[in-house]
Amino acid sequence: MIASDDIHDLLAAYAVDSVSPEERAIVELALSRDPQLRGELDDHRVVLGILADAVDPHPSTPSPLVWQRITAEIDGAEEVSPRLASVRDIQKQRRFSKWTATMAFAAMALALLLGVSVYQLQQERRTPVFEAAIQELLDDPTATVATLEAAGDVAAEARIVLGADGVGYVYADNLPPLDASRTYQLWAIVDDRVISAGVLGADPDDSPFQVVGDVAGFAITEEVAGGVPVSEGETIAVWLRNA
Amino acid sequence: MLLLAKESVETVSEKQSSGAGALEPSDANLVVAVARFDQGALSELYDRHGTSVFALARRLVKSRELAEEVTQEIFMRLWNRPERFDPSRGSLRSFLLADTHGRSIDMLRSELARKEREKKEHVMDVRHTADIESQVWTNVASEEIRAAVATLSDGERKAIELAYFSGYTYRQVAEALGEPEGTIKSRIRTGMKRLKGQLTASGLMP
Repeated sequence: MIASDDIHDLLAAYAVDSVSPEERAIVELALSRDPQLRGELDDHRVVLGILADAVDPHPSTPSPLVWQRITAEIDGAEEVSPRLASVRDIQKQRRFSKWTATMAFAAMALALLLGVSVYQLQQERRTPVFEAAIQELLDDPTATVATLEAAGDVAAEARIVLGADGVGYVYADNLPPLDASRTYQLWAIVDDRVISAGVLGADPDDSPFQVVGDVAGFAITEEVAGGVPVSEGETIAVWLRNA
Repeated sequence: MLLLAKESVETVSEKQSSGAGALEPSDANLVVAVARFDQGALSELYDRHGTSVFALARRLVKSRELAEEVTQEIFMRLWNRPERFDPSRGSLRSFLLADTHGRSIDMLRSELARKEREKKEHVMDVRHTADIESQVWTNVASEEIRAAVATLSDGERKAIELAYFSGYTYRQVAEALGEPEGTIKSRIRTGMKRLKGQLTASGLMP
């Protein structure tokens, strides 16, 4: 048990980063339980921020290389998502390959047929929550219907119906359930960028999402539970508009 | 269940450039845009706060190269985990500077731990720093801040200066000043409280 004055003294020392790792843990535990203490820490930080700015009124600036390194790291982070990057590469390659495009179109047509069959077979299993909205979109000729095909060894498939207003639904009940520490995540390719369209969970069902812009493709990946800003996991299923 | 889509094609930075006479987005709005992977928003935040982050890091780690490394890390943390910033708990600048201080101190201490043999010299450094006339406050241009610092007792000023601006633990400060550890912690706290009162009275703090 720590005395009240002690924790406030320790908090001030914590604010200036002058405590030991053990004391840091004690303070952080206290902070997690006491909103007043958090307010006190916030005040300390405001004071210190003002002092830090004041003692160096004409600071030297960091080299322009720092910002270049930041952007390179961000861009690099996108590239360390090799499988999604490869999706983009495939998209680009296929855009310029008539033969590939023809084959892919045939495969997609087959997949769509299969997809319709799977969809019909699964009608009764699906949760009815978004059923009406999905059906409405399926009847809408301006909507995009996409079947995401397995991208690797995992037998997986998902279907997406996307309205012209960018609201869509993914029915991903044909994905194998994952461990609770993992999740499926939906990605959209918009303007040559791969962006997250939502975290689907470990055992996904029908889920709505929204994307703004012209969607060139979708992918579902397996990620750590909670989802990630940039994919680090395996691509499970893919659909490309111009394939 | 699917959560929110995290991106829109029109970014905050694009909105800013397309809207003639548009209001400058707040730091909090830019952080929201960063959460949507808007690199333009991060660039704007870097322009606003990058120099302060770098200056504090450089003061602590005493190396341009290491300070630039810290600066890069701080903005990458903001990019990767923007949800760590809670606008209800203070300004982004305070948040970034607190993060910068913590990271710089970590860097400084790991370097010191690596050079274990320098431990004694390090304590002597604290004594030396404490003995010399303080240089920290000499460049402070703001009268209000100079006045606030002037209200601190000598012991409070030295404790805050050595702990915050020189990166020493309160135990090192206590050893160097020949004071009990509890006294140093207490002086840091009372000094901070006094500064808050003064800065609030002069309108520099809400």
